[in-house]
Amino acid sequence: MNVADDVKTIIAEVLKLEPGSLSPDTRLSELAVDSLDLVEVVFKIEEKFDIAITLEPKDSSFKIKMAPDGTEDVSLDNVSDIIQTVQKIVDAKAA
Amino acid sequence: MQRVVATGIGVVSPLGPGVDQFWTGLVQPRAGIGPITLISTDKLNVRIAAEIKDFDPAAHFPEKRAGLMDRFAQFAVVAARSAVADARLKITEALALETAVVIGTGIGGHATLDESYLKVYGQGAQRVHPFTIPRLMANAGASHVSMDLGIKGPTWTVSTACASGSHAIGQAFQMVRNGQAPIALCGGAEAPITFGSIKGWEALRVLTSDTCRPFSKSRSGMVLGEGAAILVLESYEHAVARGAPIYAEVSGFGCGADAGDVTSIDPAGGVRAVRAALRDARTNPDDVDYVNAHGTGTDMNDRAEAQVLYSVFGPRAARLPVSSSKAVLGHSLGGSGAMEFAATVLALKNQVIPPTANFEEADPSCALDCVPNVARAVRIETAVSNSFAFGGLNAVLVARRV
Repeated sequence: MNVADDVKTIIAEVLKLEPGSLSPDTRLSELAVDSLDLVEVVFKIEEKFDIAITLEPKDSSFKIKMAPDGTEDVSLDNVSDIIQTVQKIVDAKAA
Repeated sequence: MQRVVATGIGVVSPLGPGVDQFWTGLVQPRAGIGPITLISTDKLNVRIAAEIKDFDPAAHFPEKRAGLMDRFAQFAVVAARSAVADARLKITEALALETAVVIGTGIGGHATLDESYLKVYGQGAQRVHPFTIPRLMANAGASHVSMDLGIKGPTWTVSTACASGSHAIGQAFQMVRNGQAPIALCGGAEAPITFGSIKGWEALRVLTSDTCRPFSKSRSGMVLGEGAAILVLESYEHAVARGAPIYAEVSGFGCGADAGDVTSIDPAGGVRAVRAALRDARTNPDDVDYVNAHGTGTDMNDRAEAQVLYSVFGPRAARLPVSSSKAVLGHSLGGSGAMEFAATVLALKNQVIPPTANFEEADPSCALDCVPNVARAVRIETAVSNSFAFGGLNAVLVARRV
């Protein structure tokens, strides 16, 4: 299971983009991700990896924090933030 | 007080896309009821309904938009767009601020509820789709119509079961009449052909496996339907000033509650609602030329409705043309009252009474001229549309030829 590829595929699917057009550095604000998009991305990630993610919407910008059990809050600014957070949760679950 | 006219009609009906197919289907009459295809009927006792055939959300909405909307809200938006086009209405920025949207729905997102609950209760899933709430909320139809057309005036949803569409039109009519809005988009939408919903109706023992035969001695119950109808109501002045097409004048609205049984109609409540509507329209019962009945095709409804009509119209009720559109459209709950008022308005415009289809044999317990099976061209000046809902909530609309 390649977390990075799967997460990129999910983001691309929700935003109707080519997966190849996403790099780890792509900022969510560049992609015009709104809060509903992010909620849908997180939902699909949870389904895909069979994990639970606690998403706390903070404001209309993308300073949204993800607070999975046992890990610190992460600010989701770019694609890499999501990939790394998911990887951490998947690893924690496997351990 | 403004005179109010209907200048546009949009429907998503089991008779095919567009108002023309709706009207020709009613008059012909053509069956809107058929075998259920939307869901598996393996575990259903009732396997017929009046479905919208070949409704493709992708033909109307970008994929992301469609994903945010339950089928009922999609119907509402498609009908609203058609109504605006039919009225040749251009919603300018200024008009958008004043235009009202009032849409009736009995439940809201039936399919969304069904699918989500199946996932968490039936399949043990941990989560439902994140759009579950925005899709299922009862006001989604009104909200999406407002968003789609950029309308920013008074907007809300009315929920009175099978009378929802009629109450919505009644409220919109009052707003335009009072000068609160120059234009209102109003009507109803429902998409209840889901496994859970049909199981609920089956349990009530009001659905038939035969077909819907209002006022016929052989009637054996109602048939569920789905769809939407939206009308553009407009002050007469506003309509004339912009050279709008006019279908008919909306002249009266009456409503009330039975305060009795939750499912059986109390004829006294129906009588009060019809009389209130006629009073509101300043119309004498003797001047009514046609009644579009609630006419569900259940033994009880049709008998009670005949009693209502005899009480209001006296012996003339025996020869007053009364027809039920549910024989072809089925009962689309929140959508019904609006589709039937659209039929009423079209009858006035075309001076033709759509028949009661599927009629077999007269029933002395509802001895009405139900215009059996064959449309009738007659002079119609004033017409009445009845809706009598579960929960004892009745809504009656009156329209007049212009």
